[in-house]
Amino acid sequence: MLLAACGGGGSSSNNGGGGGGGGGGGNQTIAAPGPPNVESLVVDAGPAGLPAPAVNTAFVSVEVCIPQSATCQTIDHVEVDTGSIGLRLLSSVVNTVTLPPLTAGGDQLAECLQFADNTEVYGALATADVVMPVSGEKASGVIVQLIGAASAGNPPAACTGTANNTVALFGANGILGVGPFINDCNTNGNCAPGTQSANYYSCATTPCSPFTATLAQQLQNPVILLPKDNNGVILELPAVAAAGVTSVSGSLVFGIGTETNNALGSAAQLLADANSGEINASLNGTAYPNSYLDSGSNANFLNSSLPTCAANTAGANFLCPAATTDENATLEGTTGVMAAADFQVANADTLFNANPNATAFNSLGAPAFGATTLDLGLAFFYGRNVYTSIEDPNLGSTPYFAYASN
Amino acid sequence: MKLIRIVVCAAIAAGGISAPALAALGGDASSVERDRASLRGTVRMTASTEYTVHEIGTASGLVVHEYVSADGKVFAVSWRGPGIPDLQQVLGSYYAQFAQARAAMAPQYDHHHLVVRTPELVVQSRGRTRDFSGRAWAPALLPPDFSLNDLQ
Repeated sequence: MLLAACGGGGSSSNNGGGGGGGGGGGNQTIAAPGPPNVESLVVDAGPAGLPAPAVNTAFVSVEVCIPQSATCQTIDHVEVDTGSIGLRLLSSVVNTVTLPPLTAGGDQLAECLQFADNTEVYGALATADVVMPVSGEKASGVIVQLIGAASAGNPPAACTGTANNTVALFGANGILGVGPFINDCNTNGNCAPGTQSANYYSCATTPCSPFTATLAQQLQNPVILLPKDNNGVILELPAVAAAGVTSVSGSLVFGIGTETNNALGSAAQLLADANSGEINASLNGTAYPNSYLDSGSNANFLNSSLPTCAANTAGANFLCPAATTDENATLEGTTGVMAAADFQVANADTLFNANPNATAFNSLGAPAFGATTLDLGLAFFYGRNVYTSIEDPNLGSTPYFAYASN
Repeated sequence: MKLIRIVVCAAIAAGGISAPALAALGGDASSVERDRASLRGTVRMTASTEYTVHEIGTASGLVVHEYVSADGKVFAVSWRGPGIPDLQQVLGSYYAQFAQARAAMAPQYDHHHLVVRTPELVVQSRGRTRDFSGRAWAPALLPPDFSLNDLQ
């Protein structure tokens, strides 16, 4: 049912800061883009040519270079995803630089990564020096996946799912996975075929054959390869109006506590499970032990009695409450440290219909896809500095989340 | 709490994520038993008066639950782990309508979630690197008082 009568509810409600639950961090500021460690971040409709605009998706530009050379290409609209690991670019947009292939025994290596939406990205692996064009941060010798590259042939039979092999299908020119882990398969050793969402292949012939990738052959979080500022990232987006805005700019900050502009301050450290990267949450008296913050989720996904928007409406699959609701969650790390996480859920049909050109909404909600998860997506990030640290097995430290109002 | 007994049925070490032969959605109890014989994982059963849950785990960390109603039908499945099970396997005869509905969807740019609904099937899937879960059920096969909050 389309709740058109509630048109004023979403667009006229109060502040844009998601309720002001800062996470105990007090007020922080948004670091200005520039050297040595701050990249420009933008939420907008995405690269040209998408059949529908991106919503609540944060993008950066990334420069990839032939290693130890000045031969480079800058790729815009690469999605920043704290829910995956590694840099993946559509091979169709990497068209002015030829990156050297990653091989083993002379054979091209490839990867299939399966996403939860029953899609896959498949393509050849290459090596690049990755330069962040605004900050100048540079990671050398990064293994990059070139999605759809012909040198890896067609996806092998085990690489099931809808192929995300064009920009229009994927919704971005690539994805920069800067999540809580060092690499995309596992922390401690070889990546055997069939055990993870990430599967590696060797291409003596095509279709390529399953391949056990060593740690050195797996995609790594590019942040861990920076010479400094390499222990995590902070996404810093300003508050947005509740009705939504056409685009909004912020910062992607490299490092936590490594420069004068990236101190954790008094923000609560919510330590995550070492294997899953999950924390605990509670909302309306119910515990959600499989929770997290994730810039690659475009809404806040919650278990709720609020109605889902009708099929074939603008907000289909999102939530459509009759009036904007306040949600007051509490997040809890594995050490028992807690932080308030307040946000709002507005009627998604109203949001999209009232402001069809908007791409950044702080009150977009969706039903949780499971009974034990609260997933705070990019909608939660506006008006906050959100920290995602990277595990450090050498120190025995697990990753953590933190956030503070900005 | 409805669960009244737990039976450990088998404990054999492990295969890959796609290795276990699962009783698929809509299958009957005999298919569970047949598949259990070839299963390369660990199976645990919990039962109530309304339904039985078969828990299948593999060394990779993937855990699949199959919910079998009192009349012997698998009415729901769920999964959790570092990857996604082979949906063709867990959805069984429902896979064709899932695939058709999925193919008809417009591209979506949040790659961490999926919901597919047909008149006979609901599939929900979510996940990040190393952290996936999902569930699928046939609404027409659900026991009368079954709560989706019990589908974990």
